[in-house]
Amino acid sequence: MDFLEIIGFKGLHISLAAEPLFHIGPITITNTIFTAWIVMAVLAVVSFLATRKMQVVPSGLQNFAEAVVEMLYDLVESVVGDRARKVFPLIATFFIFILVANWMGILPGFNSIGVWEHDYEGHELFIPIFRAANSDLNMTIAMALIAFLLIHAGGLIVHKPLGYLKHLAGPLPILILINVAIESFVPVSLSVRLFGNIFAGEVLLLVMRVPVVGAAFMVLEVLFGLIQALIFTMLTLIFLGLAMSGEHEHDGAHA
Amino acid sequence: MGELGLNPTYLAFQIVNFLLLVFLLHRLLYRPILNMLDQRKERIREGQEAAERARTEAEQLRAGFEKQLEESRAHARKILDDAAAAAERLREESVANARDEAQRILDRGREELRAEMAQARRELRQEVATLSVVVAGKLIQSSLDTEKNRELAARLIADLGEQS
Repeated sequence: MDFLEIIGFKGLHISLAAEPLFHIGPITITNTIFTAWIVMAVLAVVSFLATRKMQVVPSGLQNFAEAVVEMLYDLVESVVGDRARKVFPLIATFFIFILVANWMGILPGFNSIGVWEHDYEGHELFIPIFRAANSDLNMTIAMALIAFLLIHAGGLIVHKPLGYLKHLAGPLPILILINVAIESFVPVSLSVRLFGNIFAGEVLLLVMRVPVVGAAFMVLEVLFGLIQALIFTMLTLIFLGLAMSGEHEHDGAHA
Repeated sequence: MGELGLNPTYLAFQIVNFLLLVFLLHRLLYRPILNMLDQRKERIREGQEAAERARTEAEQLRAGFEKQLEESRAHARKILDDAAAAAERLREESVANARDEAQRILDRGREELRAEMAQARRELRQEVATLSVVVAGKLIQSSLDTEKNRELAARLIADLGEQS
């Protein structure tokens, strides 16, 4: 289905699903996986350069990297306290990866550099090589599942399995159903929110390819990219904090 | 599902991708930086402690120096006082010595004067006796016993001397 033709933009094409680019053995690599790799490579190289020669008095890239890591660490520590060291790598990577992937998606060339291919019905199809990693539900669901597992693993480890069951059953045992339903929808909302925003942003930038106006929307997308990264990270962190909180009130309160 | 692009293989792939990224960033970014932050915190703490130690040490040194300075001052004052006292004593001694010396010189002068006067008197007496005999002999032109006359004259002169 051609999304843009439906809303009146003939000739423009963007599909909800990520397009396959090439195959490595049995695995098909889509353009979003390809972009995710680029993001990973960029982050790994920048991190390597930033921490290659660590100095007590930081400068340049090390200074910047330290500022980012320290800011994120303080944020994590303010929510989960002493356990920050354990959960920090996942939480921080959520933020950094989503932010860099979102901002990279605004770069010129995304959704515009590609190849024309024929689909099985013989229609011409434009396959962009670069597509924002988070405009693929597989990517956002993958992260949301990891977040879900992190949240509940944290709860289980802090409260022990029985205590966590009580935690989920509070304040009234009958509410366990509602609590479980709420918890189950957390990853759904996380993944769909991120996907929807970034996908919509791509469509918007594609439609608004007009000088000046396009630039204004790009500025907006920079802002949205940051906001979405913050929302995903903060929500994960807060739900994690909630799952791990109240470890002492269960000792006597639920006799 | 197809239209949304959901695909379990891609999903699994992205989960692995993301966890790989977490591992990479943990190795390359978080661990070195958090270690560095800890290390820096430790260093700052050590620096502060060292500064505190140095301050206390300096305080002690200062107190020590001040004490020494005070002692030196007292010592110097004592030396000055001693020197002044010694000088005073020396002055008094030399003044006394000088006075004694002068007195001695005066005494000796007087003594010598007295001795010389006695000598002169004695010589004068002999001279006068001799002269008297010569004069008397010439005057009376008689051959008197010179020895007797001299005795006579000496007695006369002694009488004269006692009268004068």
